[in-house]
Amino acid sequence: MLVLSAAIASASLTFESQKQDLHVPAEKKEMEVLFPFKNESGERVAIVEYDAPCTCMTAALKGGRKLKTGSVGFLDGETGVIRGKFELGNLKGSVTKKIVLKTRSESGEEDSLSLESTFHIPYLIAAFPNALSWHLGDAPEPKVIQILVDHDEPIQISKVSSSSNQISHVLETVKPGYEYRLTVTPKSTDEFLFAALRIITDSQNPRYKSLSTFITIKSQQANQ
Amino acid sequence: MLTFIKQSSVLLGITLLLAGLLYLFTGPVDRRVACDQAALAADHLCLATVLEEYRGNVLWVDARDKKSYERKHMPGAILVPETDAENALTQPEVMQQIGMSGVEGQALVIYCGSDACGSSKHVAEKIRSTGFHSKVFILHGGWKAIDGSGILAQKQ
Repeated sequence: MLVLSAAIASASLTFESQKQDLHVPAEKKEMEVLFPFKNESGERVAIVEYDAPCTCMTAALKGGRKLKTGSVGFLDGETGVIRGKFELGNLKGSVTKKIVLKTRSESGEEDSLSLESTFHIPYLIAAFPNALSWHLGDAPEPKVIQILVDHDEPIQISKVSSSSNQISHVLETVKPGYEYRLTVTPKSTDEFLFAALRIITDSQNPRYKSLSTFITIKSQQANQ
Repeated sequence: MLTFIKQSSVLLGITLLLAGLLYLFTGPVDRRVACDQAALAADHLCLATVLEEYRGNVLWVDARDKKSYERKHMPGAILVPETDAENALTQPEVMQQIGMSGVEGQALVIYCGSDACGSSKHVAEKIRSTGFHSKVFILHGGWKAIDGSGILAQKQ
């Protein structure tokens, strides 16, 4: 009796895993993630709603069947695969995206499932720290940003440009293609400043073609 | 064939009539996103909080893609799409608006498609990491909350 109740209570599809961790090769522009499942509920289960809330993520059924809400049903014992496609753009670092499914069994039981994918996109080149700040009235002393390349192939910095003429910057090459030092000095700290230094590289991959660091002069108060 | 068309037309007519009657009795579907400010994390805001406590005087940041932004967005919102946030943040007009809002003590409120999209969280982290603006919030419910509230229809 208990076993029967448990079988009926489950209105859901059983996924091999509802969470996946994927390491993205640097050259990839999109990633596909697969979530295999089986209907072990003892009755027919339909996918009545699905949502990949980020416009950068789409969901479909692998094998040609469209993921149309309300019309995709799975008999007891039937298997399927939800396929998610994630458009990476120029993202770097770790990003988690979800696909949310709502199911309904023949007996009317409803369930909500979240399929989570964490994508790890490598930083081939990065600045440490990513931002420099001074407070209003501070001595306008120079500060340093270290730029490191973590890649088999070297990445050369070809240009550094500033969004503001209130700061000066000097780029030094420590190890060509692998390590650089960027020394930044504000001309004065009398006024607020929010500026960016745009570092252009020789990478052919748009994701690593440029990186930005931010320069701020702010008050001691909470908002800044 | 003609009989089939006639029968289908009658069925369609009945369905539409029933739907219309249902609409008259129950009204339009309530698409508002439920939100309890007390239950949210410190850096999340309900739309009602933004409109009432902040009187809507915030800088809106749209973390969706360009197509969604161009289709419709909050008036005055700046576009910082998650997939190209770093580049977007260095655009002169974006920097100017973020800079001005920081100096004036105005809060930044970021939205993406819905609560589950994650893009607004990522963009919030990027903006905070620039070091200039600390009043950075995420809108609970995202664009779904805005669209479901009807405030854009009121503004038009």
